[in-house]
Amino acid sequence: MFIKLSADPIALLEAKAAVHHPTCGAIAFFEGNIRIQNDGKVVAGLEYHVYDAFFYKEVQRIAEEIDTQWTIHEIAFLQRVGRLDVGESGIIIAASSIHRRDALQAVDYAIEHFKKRAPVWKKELYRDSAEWIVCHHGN
Amino acid sequence: MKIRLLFFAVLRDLFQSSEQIMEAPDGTTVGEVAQRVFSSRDEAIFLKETICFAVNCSYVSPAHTLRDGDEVAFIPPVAGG
Repeated sequence: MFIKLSADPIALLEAKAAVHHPTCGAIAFFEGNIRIQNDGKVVAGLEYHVYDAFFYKEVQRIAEEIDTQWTIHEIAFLQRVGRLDVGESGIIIAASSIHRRDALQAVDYAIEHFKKRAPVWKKELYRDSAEWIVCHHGN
Repeated sequence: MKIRLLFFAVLRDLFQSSEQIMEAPDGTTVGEVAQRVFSSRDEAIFLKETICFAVNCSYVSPAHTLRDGDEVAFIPPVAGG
């Protein structure tokens, strides 16, 4: 598995390179981008905060769970940290498999569990203020 | 025993601290530590019910018994993705 935290922009091509293999006919992706609007507010940017050590362990656990359920060649998680502008990618997940169904289902499971369990927080930045975004726990 | 407490996101802002060391008697649970932390921070009490806990990078319940040297993270609602 490939797990990366990055203060620099992340790209689909990097995720593809991490999972690509000649035996795999399918690569599935999820990319989460910063929206310009949320809950009626105009978003100027976003800050991602991560508990690094826990992040790597929990994401590894998610990848291991995927391994027990689907036939995946490789899975990659790329997460941005720090300040992002509108339109930038915050998270990219990619999975490769021989046929499409395993890769698609693995990525769906990965993002569902990532959002509930990965120790990642985001502070939304507005023109004159900022606010921690609350989703929900899923552990 | 000595344990290390870690605070993130909204808790870090409220407590104006990312970590602290706490002395606690043997047999102390995560829930008891949380009680001590939040009882001294009235402004954070409304967050108490939303917090999860991790010890040494694994989610645990409030009933988890701590050992000397454990790292206890207070995990406010996560928002990745």
